[in-house]
Amino acid sequence: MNARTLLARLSRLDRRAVFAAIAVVVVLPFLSPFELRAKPSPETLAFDAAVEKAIASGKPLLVDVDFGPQTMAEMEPMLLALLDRVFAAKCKVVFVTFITEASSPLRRYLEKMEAKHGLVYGEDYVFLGYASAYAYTMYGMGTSIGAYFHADDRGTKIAELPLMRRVKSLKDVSAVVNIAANSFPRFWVQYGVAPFGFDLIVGATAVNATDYYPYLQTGQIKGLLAGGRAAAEYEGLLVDRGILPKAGDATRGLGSQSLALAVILAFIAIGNAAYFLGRRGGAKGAKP
Amino acid sequence: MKRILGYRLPAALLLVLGLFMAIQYYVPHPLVQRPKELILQWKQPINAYIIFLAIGGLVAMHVRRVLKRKERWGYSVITLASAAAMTFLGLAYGVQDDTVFADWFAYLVTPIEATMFSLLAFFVASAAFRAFRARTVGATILLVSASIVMLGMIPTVQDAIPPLGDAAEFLLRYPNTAAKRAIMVGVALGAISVSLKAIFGIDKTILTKGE
Amino acid sequence: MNDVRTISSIAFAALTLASAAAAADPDPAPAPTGVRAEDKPDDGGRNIVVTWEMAQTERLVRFEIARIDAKGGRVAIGTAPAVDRSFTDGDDASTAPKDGVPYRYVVRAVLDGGVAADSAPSEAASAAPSWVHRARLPGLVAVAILAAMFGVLVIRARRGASIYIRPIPALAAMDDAVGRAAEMGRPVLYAPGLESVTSPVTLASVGILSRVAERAARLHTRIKVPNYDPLTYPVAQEIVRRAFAKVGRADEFQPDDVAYLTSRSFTYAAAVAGMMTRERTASNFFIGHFFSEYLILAETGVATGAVQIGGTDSVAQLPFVITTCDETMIGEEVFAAAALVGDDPVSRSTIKAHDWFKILIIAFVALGAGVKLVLDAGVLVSMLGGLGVDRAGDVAARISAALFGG
Repeated sequence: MNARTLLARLSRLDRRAVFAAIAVVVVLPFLSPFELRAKPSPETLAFDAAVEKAIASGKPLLVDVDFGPQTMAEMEPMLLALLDRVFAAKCKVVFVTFITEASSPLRRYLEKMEAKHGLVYGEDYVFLGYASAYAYTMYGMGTSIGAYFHADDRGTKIAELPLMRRVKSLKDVSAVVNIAANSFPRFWVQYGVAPFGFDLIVGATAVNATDYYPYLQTGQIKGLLAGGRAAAEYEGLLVDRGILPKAGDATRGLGSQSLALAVILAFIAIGNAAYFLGRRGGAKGAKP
Repeated sequence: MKRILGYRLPAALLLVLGLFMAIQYYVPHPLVQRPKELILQWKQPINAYIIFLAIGGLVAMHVRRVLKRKERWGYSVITLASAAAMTFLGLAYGVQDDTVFADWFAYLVTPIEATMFSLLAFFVASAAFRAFRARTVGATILLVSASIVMLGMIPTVQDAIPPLGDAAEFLLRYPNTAAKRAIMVGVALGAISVSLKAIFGIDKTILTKGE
Repeated sequence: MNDVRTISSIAFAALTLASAAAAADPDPAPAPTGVRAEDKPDDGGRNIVVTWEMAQTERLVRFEIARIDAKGGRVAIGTAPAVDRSFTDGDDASTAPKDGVPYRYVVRAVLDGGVAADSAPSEAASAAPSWVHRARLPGLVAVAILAAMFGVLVIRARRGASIYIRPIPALAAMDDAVGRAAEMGRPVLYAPGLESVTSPVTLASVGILSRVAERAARLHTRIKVPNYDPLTYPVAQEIVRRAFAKVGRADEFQPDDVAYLTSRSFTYAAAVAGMMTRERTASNFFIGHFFSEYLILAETGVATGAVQIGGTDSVAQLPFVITTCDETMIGEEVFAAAALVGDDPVSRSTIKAHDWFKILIIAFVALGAGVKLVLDAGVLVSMLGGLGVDRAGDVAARISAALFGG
């Protein structure tokens, strides 16, 4: 079988063979782990700088967590790295979510953080719970959080929580951090940043992140973590600074991601090589 | 009466409330902002009502399928039984973290959804394999730029060939952002016109005209 | 006489001691200066902005701000970090100033070692609500311009002027796609996206659905509309029902073909993928807002050999729509297609107004880019220097900052 025939067969490869190749390269790094360190992108550095600025201001942070089980693999490491950073700096945080399936995982993360950093609920952090009608609540929180959250996730009245006596509206926070797998950062820009002008810092999936580059360039978003790779970059920054003892799940996943990209590129190259060889062979045959 | 309730009244509400919510953005005075706050707060219970609408429609459809023994009606039985079971568990034992409801969600729904999301990795590969062929000039530009970005995202390649990483960042930050910005401007204008047509009753899609 | 002499002695001693104390402290605590209080603009009232000046020093710990009312009563209202030089009285609703009441402010600089120094009180200022948010007026002007363009075009259209909109290939392909399904005897699938009908793109999508459903009804073809959003579902059902009734085929409409499935995106994708595979839909329409699950839907459609027409305002999903669909409507084209489906002068006028407004935006972008290039290239500096303006570089930098910020 010559090269042209082989390439022609490969270009008509059954999609299940493509799926099998992807499955192998994704699983391989978990069986035989190797660590890759990614150079932080300017967007990740901007995220880091914005978080540090928010911590340095001394004011509490508002963190909006908007991802569910589907995107947990990509978003969880991002959120955990952020929480480790802010709680290590003794920054106070108010949490909120606008999607129902984020509440339960967020409670679990907060329990872990409470134990790890010795936090006191109500003083060091508060979870306001789930709010529907996200755009209206975001807009309303700019003037009054109490008007939209009468009690927190545990049913305690807001007025009884020491931290919430300091945080009456979004004017009382240093920044809003939105870790979202959907398009909610866009609504934060529209209904939060535009009317009230606070700092917005975003963590997003790789697919959605490209939507936010325009906002980053205009300064409406102060920093952006774009997907699992950016989460790995941020983990690397925190490890270098001694805040994290070792890299987390995002760094571990970088191996699978890189190998999968390489395999996709290989298939694309094969497909195009076969296409061009086929065209040349067809043209040769057409000559008299 | 049908025309008033089905068309005139909703159209009037749409006009008044739509215009008010547009104008309030430019008027910070409390006389305007207090009604706005009230309207925003009403949105929350209205949103909750929509859930009942959804459940009613779903149950009605599946009950019909079971009663008429339509094809694959067994799956409708499973759907109704699952919905009933989760509703019962939630109402009887609560939805906090240590309940059966939460366990079923965490150990059934969560892995299923994570699996579905993982399918994207395979579909992206098959879509790329099929679609990225240099058939035309445009397709070739697409192929080359996608290849640069993908290669630039691999850390070892980025370390070995730094200009590739810089090129990938350039493509994401400038041409990609410029195109997205242009599309976003167009979408925003389209959204304004569709909203204005709805507010002024020009777009009759969501109003029945009492028919 | 003796009393007067005693009092004089005591006074003199006190003065001496005070002078000695002053002389002994070589570094008296600096106090903030230039304290100004002004009503905060563009707000609903009960906010006064206090600003002051003070050279930054390492000794500075924080500022404490106090408010003095007309009776002279002094109330501490808050603190500001050492790096700040402004404070808004009114952020805390419980201590906010009353509208129309004059207040004065004193700013205390707290330094290390417990030393503090008060500023002189500011001039009186009172809070007042604003009727107009001046900072947002440019947006209102832009909307007014767009509305004016729209108005001019509607008037022209109603007077009989024709409004040319370039053909949208996907619209023409829709009729062919439904025809294909009719020939093959298989159903059409129409997914209106994953946002509520209150979203503009879904409104546009259900407008296009009316045309596709009418064509399907004419050709005796089933059209299946799986819904993600519970509010879109009754609207979609009503539209399809009306489409069938309009062509006299009301009895062929099957209510269960337009169904609400689920409001979880990947579950929705699984259900629709199953529908496409089992029923071998001949033509698939994906028009609306989609999230990550789009590729599962579209790739399944490709695998079943269906013709696919897509359109979305979701910029993140556009690349996937383009690679998986035979015809695509990019962003605004969905709204244009919905307007063309309506085929009335008013709808066409809205699309034309977009085009005019975009030309205006392009003109402003070009002007801004041109001016920035001129400023950055030093042309203005040379011009100002040639005209004998002192410190031409600084003047040019200030002009650039005023125009472009930063």
